[in-house]
Amino acid sequence: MSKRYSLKVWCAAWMAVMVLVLAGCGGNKAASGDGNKSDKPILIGMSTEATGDNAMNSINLYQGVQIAVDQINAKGGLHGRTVELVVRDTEQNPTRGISIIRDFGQKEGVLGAVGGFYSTVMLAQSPIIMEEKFPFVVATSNVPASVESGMPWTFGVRMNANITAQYALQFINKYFATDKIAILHENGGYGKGAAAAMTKALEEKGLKPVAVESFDNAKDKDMTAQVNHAKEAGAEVIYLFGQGAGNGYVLQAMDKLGWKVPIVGENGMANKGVQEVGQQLAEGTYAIQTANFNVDQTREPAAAFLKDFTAKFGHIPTTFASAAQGYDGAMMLFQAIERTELTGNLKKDREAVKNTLETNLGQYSGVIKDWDQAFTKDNHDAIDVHSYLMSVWKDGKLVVSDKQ
Amino acid sequence: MNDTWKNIIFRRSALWGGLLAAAAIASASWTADAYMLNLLFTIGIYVIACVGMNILVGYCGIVSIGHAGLMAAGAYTSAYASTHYGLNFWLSALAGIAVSLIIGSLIAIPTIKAGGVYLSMITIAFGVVVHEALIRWDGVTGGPLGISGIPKPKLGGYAFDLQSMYLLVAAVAIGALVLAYNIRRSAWGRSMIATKENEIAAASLGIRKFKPQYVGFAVSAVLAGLAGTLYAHTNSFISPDTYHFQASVQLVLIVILGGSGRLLGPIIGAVILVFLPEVLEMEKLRMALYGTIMFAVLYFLPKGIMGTMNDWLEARFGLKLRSQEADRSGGKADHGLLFANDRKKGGFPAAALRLEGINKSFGGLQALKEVSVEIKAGTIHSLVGPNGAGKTTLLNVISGLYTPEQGAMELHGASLSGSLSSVSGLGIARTFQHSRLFKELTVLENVMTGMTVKARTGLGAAFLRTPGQRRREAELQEKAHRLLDLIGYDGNRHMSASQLPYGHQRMVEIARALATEPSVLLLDEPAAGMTAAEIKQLEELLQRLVGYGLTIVLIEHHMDFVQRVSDTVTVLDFGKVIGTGNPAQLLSDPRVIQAYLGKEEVAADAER
Amino acid sequence: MSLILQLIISGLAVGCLYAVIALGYSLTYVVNGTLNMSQGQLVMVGGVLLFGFSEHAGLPFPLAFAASILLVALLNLVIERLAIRKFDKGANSIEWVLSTIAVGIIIQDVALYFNGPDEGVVPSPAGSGMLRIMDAGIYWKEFIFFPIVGVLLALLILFYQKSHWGLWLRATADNRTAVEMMGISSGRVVAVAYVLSGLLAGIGGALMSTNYAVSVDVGLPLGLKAISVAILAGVNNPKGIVGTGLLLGVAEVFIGQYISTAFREMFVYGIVILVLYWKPMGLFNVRKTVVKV
Repeated sequence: MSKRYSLKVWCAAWMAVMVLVLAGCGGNKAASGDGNKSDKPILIGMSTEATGDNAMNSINLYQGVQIAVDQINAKGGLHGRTVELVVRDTEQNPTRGISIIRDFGQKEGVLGAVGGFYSTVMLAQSPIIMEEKFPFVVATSNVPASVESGMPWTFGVRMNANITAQYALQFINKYFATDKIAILHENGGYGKGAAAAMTKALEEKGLKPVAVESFDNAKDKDMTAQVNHAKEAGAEVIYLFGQGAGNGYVLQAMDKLGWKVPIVGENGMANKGVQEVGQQLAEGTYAIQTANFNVDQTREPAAAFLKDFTAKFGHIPTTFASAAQGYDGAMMLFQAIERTELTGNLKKDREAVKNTLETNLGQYSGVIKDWDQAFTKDNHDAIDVHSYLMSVWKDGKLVVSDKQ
Repeated sequence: MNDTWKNIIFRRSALWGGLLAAAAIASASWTADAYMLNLLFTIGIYVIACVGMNILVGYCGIVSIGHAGLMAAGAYTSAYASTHYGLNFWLSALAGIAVSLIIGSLIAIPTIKAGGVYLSMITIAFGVVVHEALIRWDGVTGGPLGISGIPKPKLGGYAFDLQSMYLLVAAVAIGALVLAYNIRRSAWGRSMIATKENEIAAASLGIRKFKPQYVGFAVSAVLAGLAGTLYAHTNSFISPDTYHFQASVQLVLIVILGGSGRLLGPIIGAVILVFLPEVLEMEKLRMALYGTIMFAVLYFLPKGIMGTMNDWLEARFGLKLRSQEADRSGGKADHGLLFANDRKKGGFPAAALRLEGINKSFGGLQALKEVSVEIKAGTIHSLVGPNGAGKTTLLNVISGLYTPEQGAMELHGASLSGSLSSVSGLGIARTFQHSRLFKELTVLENVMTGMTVKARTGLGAAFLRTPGQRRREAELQEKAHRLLDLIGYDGNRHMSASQLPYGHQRMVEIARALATEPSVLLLDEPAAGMTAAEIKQLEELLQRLVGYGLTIVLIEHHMDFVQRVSDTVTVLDFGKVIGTGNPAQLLSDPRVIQAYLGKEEVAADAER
Repeated sequence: MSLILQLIISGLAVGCLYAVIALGYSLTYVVNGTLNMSQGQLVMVGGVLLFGFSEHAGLPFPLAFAASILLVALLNLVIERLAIRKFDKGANSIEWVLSTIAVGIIIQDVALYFNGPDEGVVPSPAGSGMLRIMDAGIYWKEFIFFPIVGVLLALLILFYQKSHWGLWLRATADNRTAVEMMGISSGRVVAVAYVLSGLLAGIGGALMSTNYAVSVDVGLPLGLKAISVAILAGVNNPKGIVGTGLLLGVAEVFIGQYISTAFREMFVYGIVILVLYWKPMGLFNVRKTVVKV
């Protein structure tokens, strides 16, 4: 009895001590500007979702950034200093995301950061980034506000839902000759943002979507109701914005109802979950991307990227766009840093890097495309209607489509 | 037993330590950077919500795993009111609290009725419902992208910033702690703990579980809503991701990590929970670590950190946080004043209790058959009989725990019926066959719970611990002391009742029953497990009580005790009354002996 | 007409899953008043294991299936031993609720660590063909849920009615002390109940992974949904729980079709809450002696 008792007491005492130590520790680590003196590494924050139901897609962003870091360090780093990633898991929790931004801004003292896969977290982080004042590259979140509410410090290398919708509408008009679009979307920020954008794009033409249906990507397995509503409304194309398996279940529901129409989606449709669940039903469905790694890479930076990626991770990216955007976003940030005079004063340096990004980034040749001037003072979205690469599922693989 | 010097010094230094800590916490508003301040602010939010959880989990014993939903209710209501209607913070915060109170009340009703594991499952379901509503009802909640641009509070011309919000949160957190302290030191806190530990014993004192448990729910809902509101207006952004099932689990974890029911528990728990991810910077397996901590706390530290430390300090050094006042009440007083006076006026019928034709069966088993007994006022009436005769069942019927299928009962000439708790209000008190003391309360507090119903402590007075409330508490304590004197309890009155030796437990239970100012006292085997000296004490007590006008009904197996002490004896066998009358003559009646010993013995005896 | 049939069939398929998980709760609850709150995560483990065994290890399907469900059953046995036995001390103790929740958190994160965040589908031995009944379609691999679950339930009922262990299970549910006085270790009986419950979860997960993509996140929402089923039906009535699970699956689909897909969950939960107010212990709860307090 006494042995167990003293174990308990030790545990309790140890925990109490830990509390005091933590409290003291946390207070002592004041943010100094010293972290960026020369021959110390350059710290770049990496905000990623390692846990949560989006982790399998989010990881592509992180992996793309890692390749960029490896390549830069192989060439000697920036200003002769190695680039070091400070990685934090947001857990898909906005509260945590906010704390991470403050962590980057003050405790770790990063020069810049990359992240923003999950829209809800990014939306929460953006105003805080504006308070902390360091450049942040948003590499996937499609919600327009995620970049806009953090300007001028946030920079988007991502498929802005509004721009994507415009591109998609153009594509649908051109190749399917119809405006009768049903929007089926997952009920998170990603799906809702896309639905709002497509609705807006149609409204600009004086039209409306014939049906708008939502589903829960994680929990719903049966999409009969949603698909049936679209069918009964006379839809001729479906704008599908679930993630992976969710989209697969939509395909299955269509199969059960014996109804087949063209499907256009984006990242969610590029995910292999679509093919795993839908199998041959996925044939001929479209996914808007900014890159495609199932085909031979025509662009040299893309080929080099793919080679390094496969070497490091043993497979090609599973979400092409995020990997490419993470890489290009990070590289642009690094290019800006390289072109900036670093004084050692963190506040000034962050401001300077931001200015470089806006005015003096210069030419950048990336995985996605060549940019003359990716960003301007008024435009922080590097990807426009001409940066897209329409992909299509063919024989179980996502390849570049003939139709663009 | 008086306060030792060691104890006094310990308490003084704990008090000063606490004041210094409070000063340090407040000063952080100016000395800490925004990163650290953000963390401290988050801790403050958790403390506010978890003080409420602590009252619900620790005092009431209701483990709610859905309180993130109540935080969401407060946060979203307030955010909506201020972004859509432009209300200022103070009004929208009020709205937020109101809505969380309403939703908390809605949750409380089925939950309290259910009890057990159902309770936790229902709270989980409610938490999930709220989470779903936040995601789906996007007209109001903004859907998965939440509500942004929530304005910070303004007071006069001054706009709050992170620093001043932190001070506000710290002040509210301290206020919440004071509230919890006041509740614990009042009849409400005692009722909550009593109901949690032993619902039936509490009911026998007239305490029904709904009121105290509902109050626990209401307080925890208000505090959770308040915490949510403060959070929303400081961070300017809220979304459903913050208010899911895992968030509710975290609130529970903070409470049990700190120590369920311990005043400072939420602080320790919140500090660890907030600082741990910052310090660890683990990339993988972080949730597994939380799960492991939760499991380890349940397994090795069931009392949490504060609870274990408290026990250790007490065991090792004899240090107690509670002051040990003098144990005797001042001066002699007329003990007769302790009991109900109203029956002294006007003639009451000679019979205190009358039962006619009571029938009670359980399924196919008939426990009581046509039982008719008359119990005269101001006497000691014993029920005897072999095991299984139905004695306890009869007591249960009288006290309202069971309802007879047939038969009538009268108390002082008026018809008697009702549940255990309502019967208590009519002047019937009882003890039980097995000790049902409230182990978490002290000896003194146990007796004080008996006075809950009569004392009618107001909720507001209890929360604020007004001077009137303090006076009433002192009166209750005084009365409890006198009751303990009456039963002859000599030991430490401020120790937890779980430490009492068995004989003392039975006596303290009687004192507790007497605290309800009964006119009839039902005792179920009070002498069981007592030493001879203790039985003598019990005898003297019973004689004294009868002298004050009490009527006592007693179940016992100690035959010599029964013979010495009783005025009348009723013998039961197989649910039927075999005889009622004078103890000496009844106990030598052959029918009675036969009931106890069986036919052959009687025959053998007759042959001799 | 074919739409109605389609909805019913689809709903029953989902309902089967709910029923199987909720039944897992009920099986152990009737024996000693406890259940494993991480039942959902166990289902996930079953699915993930099947995927691992058949895709990564390349085992033939029957072997992979058997291995997965047995491992899950074993896992539940371990959970009972570690997380429940110590806390099952009285009618009112519910620490085991918290400890099994903690276990669920640990299982999910450890699974994430080993399995990664990907989702995967296991090719079903029933192939990917579609069965058409009067124009309503259901995949063969979904359709086999019904006979499999039906056989499972029949086997369970047989087990309970005809075998020794079944007898002891029923006896322990009724009166634990009496059973112990007969010399039967009630601890062993509880263990058997947990093994059965684990088998159910494993089978549910394995069946799931042949139809739907499983990742480490699918467990928790299922477990939570099954809790609603348990609340609706009353945990201590196994037959009621199975019926309620099936009914809930069908109700969900119908509500989605005819009322609203966006607000479907709200309606479903609204019904649960209304039932809760009317009967807090569940619709089919088995009542014992009433004590008026």
